[in-house]
Amino acid sequence: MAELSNLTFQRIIDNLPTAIIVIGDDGIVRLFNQQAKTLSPGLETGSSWESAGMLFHTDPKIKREWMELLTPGSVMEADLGFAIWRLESQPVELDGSDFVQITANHIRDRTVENSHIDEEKSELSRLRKLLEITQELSYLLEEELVLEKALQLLNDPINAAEGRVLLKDEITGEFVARVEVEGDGKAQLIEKPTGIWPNQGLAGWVLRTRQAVLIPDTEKDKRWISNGTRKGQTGPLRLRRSVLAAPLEFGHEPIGVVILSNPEPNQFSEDDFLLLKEATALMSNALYNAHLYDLIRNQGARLGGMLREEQINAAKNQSILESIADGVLVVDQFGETILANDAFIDIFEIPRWRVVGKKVSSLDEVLKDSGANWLNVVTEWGDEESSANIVAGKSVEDTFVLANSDRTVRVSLAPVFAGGQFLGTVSIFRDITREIEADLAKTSFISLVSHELRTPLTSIRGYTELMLMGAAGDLPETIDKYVKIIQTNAKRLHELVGDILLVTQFDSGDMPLTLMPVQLGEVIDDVVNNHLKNRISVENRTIDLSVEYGSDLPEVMADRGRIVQILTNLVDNALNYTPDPGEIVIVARQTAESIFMSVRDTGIGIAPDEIDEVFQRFYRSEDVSVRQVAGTGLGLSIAKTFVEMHGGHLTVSSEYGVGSTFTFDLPIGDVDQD
Amino acid sequence: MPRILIAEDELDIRELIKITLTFSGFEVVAAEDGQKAVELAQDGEYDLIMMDVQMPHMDGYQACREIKKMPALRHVPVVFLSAKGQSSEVKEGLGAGAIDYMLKPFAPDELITRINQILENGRKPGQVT
Repeated sequence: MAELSNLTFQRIIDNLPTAIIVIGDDGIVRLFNQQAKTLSPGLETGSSWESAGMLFHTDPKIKREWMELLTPGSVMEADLGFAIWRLESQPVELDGSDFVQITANHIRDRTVENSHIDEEKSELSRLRKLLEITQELSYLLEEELVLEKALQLLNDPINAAEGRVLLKDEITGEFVARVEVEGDGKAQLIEKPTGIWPNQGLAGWVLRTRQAVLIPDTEKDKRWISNGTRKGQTGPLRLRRSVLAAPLEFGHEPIGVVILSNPEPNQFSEDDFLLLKEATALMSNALYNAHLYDLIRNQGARLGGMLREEQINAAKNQSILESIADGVLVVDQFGETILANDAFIDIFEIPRWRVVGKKVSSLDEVLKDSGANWLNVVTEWGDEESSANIVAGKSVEDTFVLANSDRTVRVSLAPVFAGGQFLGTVSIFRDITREIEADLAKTSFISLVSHELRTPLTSIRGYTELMLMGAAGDLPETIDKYVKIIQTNAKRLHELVGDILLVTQFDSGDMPLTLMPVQLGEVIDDVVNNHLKNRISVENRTIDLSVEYGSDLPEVMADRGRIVQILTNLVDNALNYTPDPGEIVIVARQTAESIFMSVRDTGIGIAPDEIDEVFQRFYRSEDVSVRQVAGTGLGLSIAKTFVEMHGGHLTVSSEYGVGSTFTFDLPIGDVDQD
Repeated sequence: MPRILIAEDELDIRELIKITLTFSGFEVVAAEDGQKAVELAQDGEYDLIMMDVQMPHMDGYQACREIKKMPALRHVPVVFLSAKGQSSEVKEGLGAGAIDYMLKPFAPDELITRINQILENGRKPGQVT
């Protein structure tokens, strides 16, 4: 069945002759139609069934009976003053029996009943039969059962040998026999095509004209197609001399014909004809009701399904929020807290009743001054006027220490929108006390280790230098040589400690850059003149050194100390792996957004399979010529990290045995900024 | 001959600094903790005070703050020479009023160069070696 809009659906049920009230298992009225409203003007959706029932009757006994109607399947008759109604409750088949539908059918008008009490016996019996049919049919909410029952009931008082209900096939239009009563008097559901079409025969005539007909003798009526002349007819010939026929309608559309017949002519009376006419009208109504009941049931199922799905979703969402390990606080658009999960209650150590259902601003009693930033924003966003300015995607982060427990809490607060409408805010709290403690422990550990390593190194290196300065008098040649070896290795150890400390600081994120405008040409000169040239001369190397950069090189925003370190590590690397006589070229050039610096050497180069590894921490090649050079495998990785901290990239190209070029870029940035 | 007061709790290093400075022509008075350094600073005239950070009784930060509180000593440049080199530690040292913060281990020639610079210029922005 196609889905109906709620409005169409309501219009349809309003037009039903039957009063319909649908009540949820919670006793709340969910739906009713116009008929029900006429019976009980106080009915309102969302109101309690009991109060609706009270409008019918104040007598406690009757009221009790009314309440029993909530049990599916219960039936009662109610005298509502002007008429007697039959009230019947049916479960609406959703997932279980969530809904009860009360139908109320008008059984008899007291006035009608009275006026007919002295009528003819046949008239009375016809009315009684009709009443019986009405009552029986009003129970039935399936179309086939309506047809079956009606034909059964009709066949008894009317002296028919055979009765059939023919329905027009919705697609082909052919009449199909759906119910049949034969000799034994039992109505049976069948499905037999008749070979008759709406433009043919008596059935066609009745359907087209929508008129009931009494034919005393078919042999004298041209509308009748005798069995013998009908195409495709199989089975034994049936004699139908007396025929009664009446149309069945659905709404205003004729859908079929009820035909009663007898092999003898002149078997049907005028009373039979009247009874058939009125009974088919009742059948039509019952069919319509059954069809609408189907509609209601489907619609009810759909609504119920949607409702259930919504409930499940809401329950799911709720339980997801409840089970999150972080504290969750949901505040609605009026500044009232509607959810605080267990984790929130744990972190803040306050009873739930002090939070949920209260204004979020009342949390200031618990928070004291801590978290004021967050509380101000969340309170402001809960205010209707200022909430109009909130933009989706905006969020606020804050970290504060709770006054009552000394816990450190990080909160992130974001507005919630649905379809462009501001619904409130969600705050997520994380207890970061332990993270902060761990950070502190790590920092103090690094500090301790670095101090403890440097202190003995200070003595080793210092006294070695003192001896070489001649503070202990002139050193014999061999001792001088040995002391120099100690000096070199003490320096190495010193550098290693420094590098390890740096790497540890990278990992803990404790490495802020101090950005200021830096003239890279000046940095290159500094490193070359004060470091590289010293090394070349002290180590007595034969290296051809050249530096190329334009005098118009712009300044970049950078941490000068770190740039010095990058360049120092690169030139040291070049010098370490370039055998004499060799060449080192340092170049700086400018593009639109960056400055590129490169250090090229004519050294041993990097094997192709190792080129991806050179920036790995502590990576050192197995190559003998590399192993001859002292090193930790940290220099290039530190340089790369510093370059990346500046927003640049450090890359290498190399030809094994010919030389390597390390290149990095630094974004120029906005130098005008302070 | 410039007079330098040093404070260093480790005997070996105290001797090392003393010898290095004396060898370079300075007159050196040595204290073994911050407390002593503050007392000695009040008794004599010094051109520069060089202190370790981590010392018993009174650490270098505290000693520096005490010295900077005294009107008579406020102008004497204080230099830290410490193995503690994290940025927060350097910041705290300079915040206590020191003019420079040098790291151990030190190269003797660099140490002398820095001291001479400070004595000549009176002031030079703090920098870590």
